[in-house]
Amino acid sequence: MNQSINKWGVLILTGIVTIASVFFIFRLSINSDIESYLPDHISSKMNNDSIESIFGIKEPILLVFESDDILKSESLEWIQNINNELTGSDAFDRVISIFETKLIEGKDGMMIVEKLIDNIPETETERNALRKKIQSNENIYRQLISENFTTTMILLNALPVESDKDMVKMILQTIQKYPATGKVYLNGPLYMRAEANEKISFDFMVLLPVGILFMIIFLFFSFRQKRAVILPLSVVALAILISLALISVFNWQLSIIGILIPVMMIAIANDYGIHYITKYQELSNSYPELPEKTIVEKTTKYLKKPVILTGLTTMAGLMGLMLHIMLPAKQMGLISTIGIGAALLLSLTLIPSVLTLFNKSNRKNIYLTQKQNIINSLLLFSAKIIHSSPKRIIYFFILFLMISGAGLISFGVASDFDDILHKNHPYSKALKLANDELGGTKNISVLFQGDIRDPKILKKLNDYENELERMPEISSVTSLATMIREMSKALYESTDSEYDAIPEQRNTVSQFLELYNMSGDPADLEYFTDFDFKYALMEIQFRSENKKTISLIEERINALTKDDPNFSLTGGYCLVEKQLSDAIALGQAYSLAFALLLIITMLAIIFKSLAAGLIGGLPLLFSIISTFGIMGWMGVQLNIVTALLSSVSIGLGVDYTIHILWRIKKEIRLGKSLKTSIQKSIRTSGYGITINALSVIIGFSVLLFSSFGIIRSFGFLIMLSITICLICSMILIPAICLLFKPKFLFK
Amino acid sequence: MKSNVPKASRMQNIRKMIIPLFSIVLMLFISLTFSPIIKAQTPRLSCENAANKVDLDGYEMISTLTIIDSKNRKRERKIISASAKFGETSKRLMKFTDPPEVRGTAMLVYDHKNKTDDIWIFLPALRKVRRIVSKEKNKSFMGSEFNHADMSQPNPDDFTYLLLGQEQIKGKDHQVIQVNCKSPDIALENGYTVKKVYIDLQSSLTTQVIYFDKQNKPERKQIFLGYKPLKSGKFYAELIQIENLRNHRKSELFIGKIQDIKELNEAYFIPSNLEEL
Repeated sequence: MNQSINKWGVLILTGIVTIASVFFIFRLSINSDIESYLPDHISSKMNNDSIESIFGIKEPILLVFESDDILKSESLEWIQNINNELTGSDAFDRVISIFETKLIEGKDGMMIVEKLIDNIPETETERNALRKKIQSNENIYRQLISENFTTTMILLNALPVESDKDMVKMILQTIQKYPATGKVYLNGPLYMRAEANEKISFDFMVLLPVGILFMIIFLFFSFRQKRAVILPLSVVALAILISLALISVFNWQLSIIGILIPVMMIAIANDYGIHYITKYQELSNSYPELPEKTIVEKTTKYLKKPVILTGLTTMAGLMGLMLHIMLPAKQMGLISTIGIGAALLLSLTLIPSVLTLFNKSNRKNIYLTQKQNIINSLLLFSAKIIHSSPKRIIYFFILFLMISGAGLISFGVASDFDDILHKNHPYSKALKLANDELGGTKNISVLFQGDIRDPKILKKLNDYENELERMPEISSVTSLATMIREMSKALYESTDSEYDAIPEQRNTVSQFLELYNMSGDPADLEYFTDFDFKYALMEIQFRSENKKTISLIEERINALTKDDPNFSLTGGYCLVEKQLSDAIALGQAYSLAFALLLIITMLAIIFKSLAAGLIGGLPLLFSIISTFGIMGWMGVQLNIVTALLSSVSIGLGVDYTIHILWRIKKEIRLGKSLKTSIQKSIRTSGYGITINALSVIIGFSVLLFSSFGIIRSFGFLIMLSITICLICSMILIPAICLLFKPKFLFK
Repeated sequence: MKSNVPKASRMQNIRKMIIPLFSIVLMLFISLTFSPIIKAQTPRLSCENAANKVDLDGYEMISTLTIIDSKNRKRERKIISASAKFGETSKRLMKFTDPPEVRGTAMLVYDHKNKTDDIWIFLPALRKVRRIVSKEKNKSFMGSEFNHADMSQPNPDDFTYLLLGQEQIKGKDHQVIQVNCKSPDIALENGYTVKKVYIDLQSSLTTQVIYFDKQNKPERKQIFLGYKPLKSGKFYAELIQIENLRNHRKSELFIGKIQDIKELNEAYFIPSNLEEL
């Protein structure tokens, strides 16, 4: 009677939680702004905020045009039409392009302010004249237009007047309006956000159903029974609902990393259900005379301890993510820990409760019937080689570890978020063209404070510019000093000492600035100095594909400005990326150490032996080193997503070791020898473990269909990592046990 | 019942009536047929009248230009200026008197109707006059939200005019006229595609102008306050405010003193004079 009350209690409670979860899921929102993944208190973000509070929000959007000859009339007309339309839009406050570039030059006592392209050249002679004009200007040539005149760009600074999606839509509509004579690609954080936002939604719409479909097929072929498919899937569905609802409950948003949460639930949350159904079917077949209720009770009693233990170790692995500096990683750590906890609880409460409602099962499961399948053959083979040559196995594993581990030399941390979208995406193509053909897409801003019209400060800025421009990585350095110097070239004769120099008098500087206001565009000045001339900004543009270049430039800036009282701070999106990259490496180390330590402690407690903890930790360590090494060999970097790999794989991989050690110990306790116990364990528990690992691998395989390259990499690597963990626990652990005969197995 | 009026006399009376009747019908026909043309001319005439009321042949002025950024920080410039028309060309001379660091900076503009403006500047620090060659007329005036085009009278033939109706501003009835640039080049030169002009029906003076961009979104709003009469019968607005509706920056031109002078000496408006001012 009591059990009946519990059963209905479980069902009603589950129903309530489901309804509440659905309610919260409708409030879920997406956050694709990678910069917001870092906590607000980190220095690079705070520096950017400081710069933005003085100079306004900078939201660059890059349009890179590729054509056989940019200077051809048709190409120029095409780009000019797009340029003019975007310039006229109130969505942008600044447009930099070959059509907006003004040249200030001194000629015959005149200061000539003219547009680089006033009229589109019609003849070859006019075209060549323009070509020469561009080639002679170092601020345009190889910066705004490529050396071979096949690439140019329009740089827009977007105002926060429209959503990312609407802004991108407007730009794309403008581009489509004019017949193209070449190709155009977009780049910039805003475009990345808009694209990521769309792709997160797309991934959810695709990965979730595909993952569930994979799991239905897998469960059906494994158990050939409706309830064996429906029940573990119900647990998965509920775990997904609860996890996603929790994001909303905690007032968080779904990030790119968040895509992994439902997939992880599909891959992991059904493990406990699979264990339950396997044992339930096994007992139903073994004891056909027993009533359903008794079978369910026996199954629960038998599985309670190992399932709880493996669940706890998985949760411990995932909890390691909570030490990560990146907010979505922390959130994922907590959410997936609770999700897995819920799945564990539901597997031990909901599944038994529902099973008692059905008639007795008479279906034999595939695990028990198909004895001669490939998995069994492989298990038999591994049992055989462990038995015959455990030493060789250990040597083989050491060799494998050394070869794969050698890849660690080339293993690195991604310095930016540029590889989030795939290589053929317009974003990546624009990036490549801007880096290969133009001035690059990376930018560092250096903020100075003081009386900016003071020639002493301007001279310092000028010196810094000259020093920095010597670095081959840097394509351009621009500040108020550059503009003042350019004006001096237009106002003085080349023979004058004041030509191409910062004036000696403050009044002269003020008058230069006034003159610029009269003849140029005052908005140009506002990019380099504020309204009151209390701050100045130096913009450093460079090409970089790694953290080393950024560090090098940062170090040079620090060395130059070391004793400068006017130096305030450095900012720029690439510095946030760099700090995030450092945070990833640090977060990886923290979460790895935490998860490993926690799991070793847990194993030591479970088996009441430190040796058990250390041996149990071996496959995890092996898997981590091998996976990271293989990543190094393959050129896959540690990024915001792959950084989560080790915590997830540790949490999952340890289950297999626990199961195998548990079974060996149990067989020894039944009076069997170590060798026999190992053989029996591999052939019996090994089968369940393999199927379990396969279900996890199949679950994660849907990530290969993700729109994000980094998610696909994660999918591949987690599959690889789980496979390594499985092989280690099936071959390496038994070989070590056979060779070293650890005492805890005999206790 | 027979009429006592003789037949010949009746005919004469009818003839007499026919002429005025025909005239009335003809006038009605003309006014009905050509009313759109008359209507179309009305807003243009209103705009031209309003422009003429403030179009001075020549003046000398002391003004203060205040530039206010979106954070309400202010930058002030005191300017003395003079302007006069010589044939098809308007000539303007401006000189900063304050703040001290830019005192003496002067600018001379020859605003030609049908060709690119000529501009000369004098920087005291340089001690020499430089000619600036710039084709852009729609650029900022002295770093403010005004542009150079705002400072000169445009050619009325460059625009089309449409009467939008009447609106009340501060309790006064205003005629609202939409002025459209006839071509993209004219729009580029003036810095707007369309503007909405509000003319006070009582004074026939412009009190407000809203400038629109290519996407027909309001871009700048100009307000004229405190119109005062001059000796010549023309008027000037004591305070002209302009707000950039995109970046919320404002500028104010306060005219402290103005004198309309019909015949300013053309020799006054020569580049070499910039140094001596």
